[in-house]
Amino acid sequence: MASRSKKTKKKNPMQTAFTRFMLIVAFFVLWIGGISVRLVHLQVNQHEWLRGQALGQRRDQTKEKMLRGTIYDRADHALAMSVNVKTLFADPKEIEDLEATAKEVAKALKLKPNDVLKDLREAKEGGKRFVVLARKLNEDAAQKINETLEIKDLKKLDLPKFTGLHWKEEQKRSYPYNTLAAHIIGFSNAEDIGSAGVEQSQEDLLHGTVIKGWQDRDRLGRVYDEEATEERQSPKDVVLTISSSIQYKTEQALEKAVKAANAKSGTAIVLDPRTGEILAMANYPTFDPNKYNEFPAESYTNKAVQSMYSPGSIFKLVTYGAALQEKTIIADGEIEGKSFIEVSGRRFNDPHGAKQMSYGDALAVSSNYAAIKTALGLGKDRFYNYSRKFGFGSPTGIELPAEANGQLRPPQTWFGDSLASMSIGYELNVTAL
Amino acid sequence: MSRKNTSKNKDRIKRDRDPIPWRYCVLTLVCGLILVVGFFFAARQHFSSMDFGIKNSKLKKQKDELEAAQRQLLLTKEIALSPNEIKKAAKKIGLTELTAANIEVFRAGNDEKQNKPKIEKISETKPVTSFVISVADSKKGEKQSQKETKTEKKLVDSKDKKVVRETKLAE
Repeated sequence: MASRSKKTKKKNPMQTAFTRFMLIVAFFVLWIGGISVRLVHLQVNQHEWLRGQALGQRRDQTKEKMLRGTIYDRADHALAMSVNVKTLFADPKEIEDLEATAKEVAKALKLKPNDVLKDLREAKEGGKRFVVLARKLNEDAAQKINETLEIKDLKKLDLPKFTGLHWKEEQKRSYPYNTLAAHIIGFSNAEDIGSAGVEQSQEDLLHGTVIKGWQDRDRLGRVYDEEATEERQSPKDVVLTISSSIQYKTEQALEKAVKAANAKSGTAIVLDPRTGEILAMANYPTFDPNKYNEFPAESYTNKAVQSMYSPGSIFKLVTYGAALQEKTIIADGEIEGKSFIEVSGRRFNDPHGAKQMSYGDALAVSSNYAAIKTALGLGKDRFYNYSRKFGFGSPTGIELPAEANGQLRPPQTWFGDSLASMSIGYELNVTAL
Repeated sequence: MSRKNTSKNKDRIKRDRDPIPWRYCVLTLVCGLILVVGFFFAARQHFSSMDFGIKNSKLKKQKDELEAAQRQLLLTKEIALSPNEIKKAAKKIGLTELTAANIEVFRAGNDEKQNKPKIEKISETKPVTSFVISVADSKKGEKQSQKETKTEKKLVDSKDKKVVRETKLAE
């Protein structure tokens, strides 16, 4: 029996090998199966989350604002242009020792340490992550600050090499000629949006669009791939008919004239009569668009196109022009002058009119009597139509904001003496332009 | 239980082996080699593209910085060319403003030449009140440098014209 039991216990070596082999296979199957299940879980169930995590580690979203277009005068002198500047800001969450940071920053920026510390502390307590320390500095100034604030042992990707401090790229609008043509150029506000003059009227062309994109960084923070997700559309430059030298001379002459006349303000426009191009447009008092905040809002008004006044005797040109066209008078014709004329009970005096004279002389001496008589001969409707055809009562269409229309009432609303008044340039309003 | 495996027995055992020709081995080896080389080449390409990307981004940054510097210089130049700055510079070197007396002295010497009538060609164009001459694409530095050249050319042209006019006056 004993020998028999021994026999039964004896295993087949092939079977043993097979069993062992199967165990190993089972182990590997389980192992690989476990890995596969884990991989499926990670790559299918957690795909989006993990992808986001991976992108978050290497990819930065970028926002680049293109520089606003430049405004040139007719000789290609830049009257307004944008340049890149940098704003230094602190992220209080990254700073551990606020006092030491405030001390160093104050030293570099020549500020009071207590003020900096107060700002940083308030921001940290309020959970803010953006505290502006120095706004819109040029490259040289930024470089100096970088050198002053550098901690050599610090491993930090961006400048300045100082914990919690970063630069933000911005742009600054500069007007190199200061007050020159300030009312024409206008200015753009802190958000780089045109708020007056050509800056406002040509906002669509000048505006620098924001380009969104992304950039991939390696483990050392170096950018190895970047792409813009939006199409780049460069802003346009605008060239004006203004001549900066004529503008300067005009402004000088206007200032002198206003001061000499002891007047409050003045306006002057220089046009090329052959083309109608505006060579200069000056207003006094003026302002500096580089620091427009320091000037009262009234000084931004371009009186040449926004203020109205009665043109007076210069309007007699329109009266005579219309009469000549309608042939109610002839150029060589003469008129019997009088020292006054009464229309609808209103008396219009004429110090030059008490004699017989030609229409040319009447225009030269600015005779009220001759102009009123001519207008009365023309009639209300024809006078009104010609005034409209000359462009009175409607804007010129100049590319400047808030241009006044002028004022020319329709004949139905006229009074009895309105035609007479209008013929010598009253009861209607025009802009200087 | 002890096994009796003598060397004689070993020699007697004959195992069947699959006949694998040596060329299959070579083929496998070659395929493996191609695969390894392929992986190696792909890795090299990948790292080289990363390297180019880094270089490219550095150059782009450098280009942006240079353009910004160029714009800053242009602005500085424009500020220096502004009438107020020129006035200041002129005063610094001792130049005085043009006065009526200065003009009289100048005219006394050049009376005949000055009184010659100047004839200008008058073009017949319809007057239209206009302000903006043209609108051009803004291409940061490139455009600026082109304009620079254009302005310089204009300045040279105007200088030439001036010389011609002076020569005519002298005649």
